[in-house]
Amino acid sequence: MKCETQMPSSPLSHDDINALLNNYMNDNPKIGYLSFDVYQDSPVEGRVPIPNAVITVSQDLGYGYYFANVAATDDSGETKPISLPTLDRSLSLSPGQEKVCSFYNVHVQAPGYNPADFYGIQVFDGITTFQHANLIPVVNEYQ
Amino acid sequence: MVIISRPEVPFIPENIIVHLGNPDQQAENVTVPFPTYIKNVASATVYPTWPESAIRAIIYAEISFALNRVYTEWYRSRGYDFDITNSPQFDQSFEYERDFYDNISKIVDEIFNSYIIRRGSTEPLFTPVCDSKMTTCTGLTMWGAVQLAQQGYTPYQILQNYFGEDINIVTDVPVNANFESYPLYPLSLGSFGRDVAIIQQELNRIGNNYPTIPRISNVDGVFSAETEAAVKAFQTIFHLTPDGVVDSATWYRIKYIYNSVKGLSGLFSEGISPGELQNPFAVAWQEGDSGVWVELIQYYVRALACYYKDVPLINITGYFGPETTEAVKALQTKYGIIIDGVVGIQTWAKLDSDYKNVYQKIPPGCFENKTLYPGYLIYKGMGDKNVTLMQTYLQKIAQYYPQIPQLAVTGIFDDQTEAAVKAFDQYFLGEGTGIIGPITWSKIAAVYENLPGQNTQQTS
Repeated sequence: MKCETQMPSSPLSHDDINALLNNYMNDNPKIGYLSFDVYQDSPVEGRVPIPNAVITVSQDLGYGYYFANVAATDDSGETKPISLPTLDRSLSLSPGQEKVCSFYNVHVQAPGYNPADFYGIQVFDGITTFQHANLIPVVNEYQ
Repeated sequence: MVIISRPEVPFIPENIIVHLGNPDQQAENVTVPFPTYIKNVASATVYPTWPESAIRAIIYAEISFALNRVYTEWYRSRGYDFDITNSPQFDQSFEYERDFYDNISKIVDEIFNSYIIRRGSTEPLFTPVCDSKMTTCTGLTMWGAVQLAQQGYTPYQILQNYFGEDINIVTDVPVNANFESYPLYPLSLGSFGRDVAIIQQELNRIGNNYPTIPRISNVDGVFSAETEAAVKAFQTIFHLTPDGVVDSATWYRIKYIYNSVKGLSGLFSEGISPGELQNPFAVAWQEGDSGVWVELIQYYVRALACYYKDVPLINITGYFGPETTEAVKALQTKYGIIIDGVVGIQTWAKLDSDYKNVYQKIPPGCFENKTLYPGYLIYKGMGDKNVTLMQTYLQKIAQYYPQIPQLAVTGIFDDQTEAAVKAFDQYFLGEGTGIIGPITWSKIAAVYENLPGQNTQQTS
């Protein structure tokens, strides 16, 4: 499959989508983890965890398709580590490699809060990456 | 803040102020807890997949570099209002609010209060770390460190390779903050004291915001099974090893999270309520004090005096008199710590760990009983061979003393065990806490050993 264009000219066939996904899994044969910690820094209550925030982790595969994973936070504002495909760790052990891990984008949303986005979070083979998300409540001036 | 018997060393700052740009560039200053700063810098500079020795060496260097900037007031003495910049050209990379890695986080929690010095100096060493893109480098190079680690170098050897043979790593440096520094010994099931009471209070407050942390119903300074459960839940939430032991990493994480749930570092803050300042435990015990905790200190001092011979032997009276002061001073001399006759955190830590090492070698005749106190409080919710032993003793004692209720040997310090211990205390010692400390232990053992038929069976 050639990456001639990022724009879908017409919907891909089922086989093409499978091929796209297989290519991605072949390029990223190992597993790394991403864990989120979602909270609000309230001026009154201090740090308060936000439960039931929805975390969407994604990677653009081209042609309008994405590799994606969705998780929700627990009562402590945390997700279980989300498993994600990444490169082999051996690549990171010598200098001069162009790419040593995979990168993911994340969208965080929770009712009553402004959503937050994170781009290019690095995920390494066998390592858990933590990302804090400090959300700001929605303020409606007309209520 | 009162620091007792601690050496004169530069402190670790609670927070560090980072300028997000070159020194003369207009940019925001951000205030970041010191361990968070180091986690960020390390995550921005190393690959988390590198050998652990290389990662540790680099983190030590990054800590020392930052502390050197703070301690020498590199920027402040030049009129700037920050401690360090985030520019790799001037200092070290820092990407505000970036992600960080679990293995790096664990290492930093463990060593953020350590730094490198040149032998004979107390100043944190200037230890620049260079990445491969820099053309000239006078410090540690990352890939060089990785290669050395792959050859089996330890973190210390890697650092010696770049910064000279004559370096030392100073550990357990106190943190200069609105909280107390790590008491220098881990708190776990069976520990007690003011530090435990404070941790219990703080975990309960954190639990208001984090409901998965179970409440500790008795904030009494005794590290109970409930306390252990709360510590484990805290460790799970905040990515520490959930072992239920408050070591340096857990101690400081509790303090930082407590401050952040209370907003103590922010503009609006909850403040500290009067209840939080009241505490059943003193910071230190000295001549003139009395009570059960003095009794306990005297028990340790007497035991160690029996062992060492050159320390004056004292009696357990519950009153901290001049004889106790003299014996404490003799032990402090032996340990090479400040000789003031006051039992503060450092002296207590020494007594506690030394007793655990030698209690099985204490000569007979030091105490009335032969089976000596194992060195930790035995309390409701615990279960180990010493609980079984105490239950066996109490069961036998109950056969001769009707005042003590009958109990079954279960191996777990349960309600029936507590009832028996309370009744025993009441009858033999005149007060009943239901906790087996050295005094209760010694009495139970002595009574048991003197029961008819027990004398002939004693083999020791």
